[in-house]
Amino acid sequence: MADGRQQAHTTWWFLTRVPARYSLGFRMDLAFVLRSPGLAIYYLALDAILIPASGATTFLLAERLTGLGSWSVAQVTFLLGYATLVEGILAVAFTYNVSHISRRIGRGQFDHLLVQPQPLWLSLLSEGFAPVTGGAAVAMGIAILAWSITRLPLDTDIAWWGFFLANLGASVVAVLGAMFAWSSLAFWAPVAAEEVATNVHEALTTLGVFPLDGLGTVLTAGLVTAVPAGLVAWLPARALLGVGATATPLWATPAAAVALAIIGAATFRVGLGRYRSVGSSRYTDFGHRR
Amino acid sequence: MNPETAVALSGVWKTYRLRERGTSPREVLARIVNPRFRTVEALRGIDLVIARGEIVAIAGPNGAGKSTTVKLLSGLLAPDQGTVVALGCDPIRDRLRYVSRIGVCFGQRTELWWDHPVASSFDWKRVVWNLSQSQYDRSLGALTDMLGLNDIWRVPARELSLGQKMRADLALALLPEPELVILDEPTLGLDVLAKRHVLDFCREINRERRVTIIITSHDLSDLEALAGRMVMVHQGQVAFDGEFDRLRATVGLQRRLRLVTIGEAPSLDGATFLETRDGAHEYAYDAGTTTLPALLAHAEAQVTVLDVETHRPPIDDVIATLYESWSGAPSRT
Repeated sequence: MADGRQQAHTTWWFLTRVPARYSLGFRMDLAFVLRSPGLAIYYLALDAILIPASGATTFLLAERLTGLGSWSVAQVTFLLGYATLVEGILAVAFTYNVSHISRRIGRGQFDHLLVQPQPLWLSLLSEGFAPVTGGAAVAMGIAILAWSITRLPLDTDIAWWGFFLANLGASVVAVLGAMFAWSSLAFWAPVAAEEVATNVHEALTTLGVFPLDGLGTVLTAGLVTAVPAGLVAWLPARALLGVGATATPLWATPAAAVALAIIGAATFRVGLGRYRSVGSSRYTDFGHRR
Repeated sequence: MNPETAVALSGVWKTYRLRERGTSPREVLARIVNPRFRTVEALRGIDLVIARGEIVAIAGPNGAGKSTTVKLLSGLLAPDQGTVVALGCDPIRDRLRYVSRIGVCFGQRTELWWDHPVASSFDWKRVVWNLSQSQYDRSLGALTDMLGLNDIWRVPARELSLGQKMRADLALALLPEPELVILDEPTLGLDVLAKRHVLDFCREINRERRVTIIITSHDLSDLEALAGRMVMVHQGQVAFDGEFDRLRATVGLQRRLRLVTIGEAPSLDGATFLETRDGAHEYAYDAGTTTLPALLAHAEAQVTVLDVETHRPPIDDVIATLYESWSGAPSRT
């Protein structure tokens, strides 16, 4: 009965499991869509409309004013496409329970993660993978970006695309880092903080589609650190397009993302220690939630 | 640790520090500035050894420490002091190795994927638990037969009844063929038939695979029907550990006497009148100090007795008597 389960696996062994997890996520997501095609089309259409619509205000303002500050209309469009793609990647790879991590902690559902025979990082990396239902946002993001790039005088060589991908990944990591750092509050305040992840995500999505140039130093600093909406699209787009009088380093967003990832992982680790110590008492013996 | 030992808790202490909240706005503000805490000792030096292949019921009044015990055994909580060793592992330090060998079922919380058919949750489990296809097929085949999964296999979890959900959750916990199964309130909210299914199934896997089962439930008759051994936790300590019959004996040789008589309920020396229901009068007496013939003679001296029946009090009453004796409240058994 115990078979091979007695042995301890290495991190490398768990890494080799990732493709199988993603394949499972794809199968489940596809089956979900195919089971109810009408509902799926509704979801996809809604995503395709709503996600870019979140940047409609910025776009209309830019169009009306023939640009925003030092940003041309095409640059603003690039920023919006970039933000949509970041949102799409989050919707594809980190949806479900991962995007509601504070709810999971606050409601004691974290217990289910802890009884799975895989490291937490693997659970969090793989269980929010929904490439079909999240795909619409990615498609929209790519379409908007492609359209804007054709209108921009960019020298898109391999190096530029390399920086583009690095910044794109960094933006996703920055959002996740901030979400996990703030969500760690739920380890201490399970009821009050159970929706923190949703709130942080909404704040970043809402503010992430605006060029933040012209804001005061303190506010700008806050928007690239504590609530890193500036890392969703503004700072990386600024660096990639060379917008502004002073050039933004191409490594700025990746560096900030690394810092946020470290902070997010560290606070989450401390919170996890607390969870190990006090557990969750949200459910009574009779199954009611306090 | 003895290889025949499944679980060993040794001198385990677990203390929670709870913040005391104010009631009035003024008190709430005062508590923010000057917080107050109270300490709850959930477990106070608990020792417990469970052998492989045993079915052990853990019971106790609310707040006794049984949930904490279950969480410690599931690797969800770390003890403040003492050691927890299960299947030769430290459930916290050896979490991955340990949880791959146990099955945990929280009766009040489902592990099923909510918007997906039951089948998808099993597919998920196969991948995450890294089960080979042959092991998956073998285990699923047995579980499908025993728990009747066919009728719910294609149904989304959100559309299942409580009993169906419990069946699916139980099967999911047992899919990797665990050596130790921890069931936290598995019969919660189930109807009589569903309850019987779950209990029969637990008995069967224990008999066939020698799976160690640790079960908590508020329904003590369920526990008596399933477990050979009962561990009662009270105020963070093991208040009783033994067989159910021995548990009954702790409150004396309690018996119930039901008399159907013509006329009023007679007054019986050595027995306590409990109630009259459907024309039958029920009494509690201690068979160790009062004999049945003496009671009947006493009754017949007062009324005409038409029918007599004796039985042991339900296990719930025995436990209630114990709880009441622990809390200092008067008992009726």
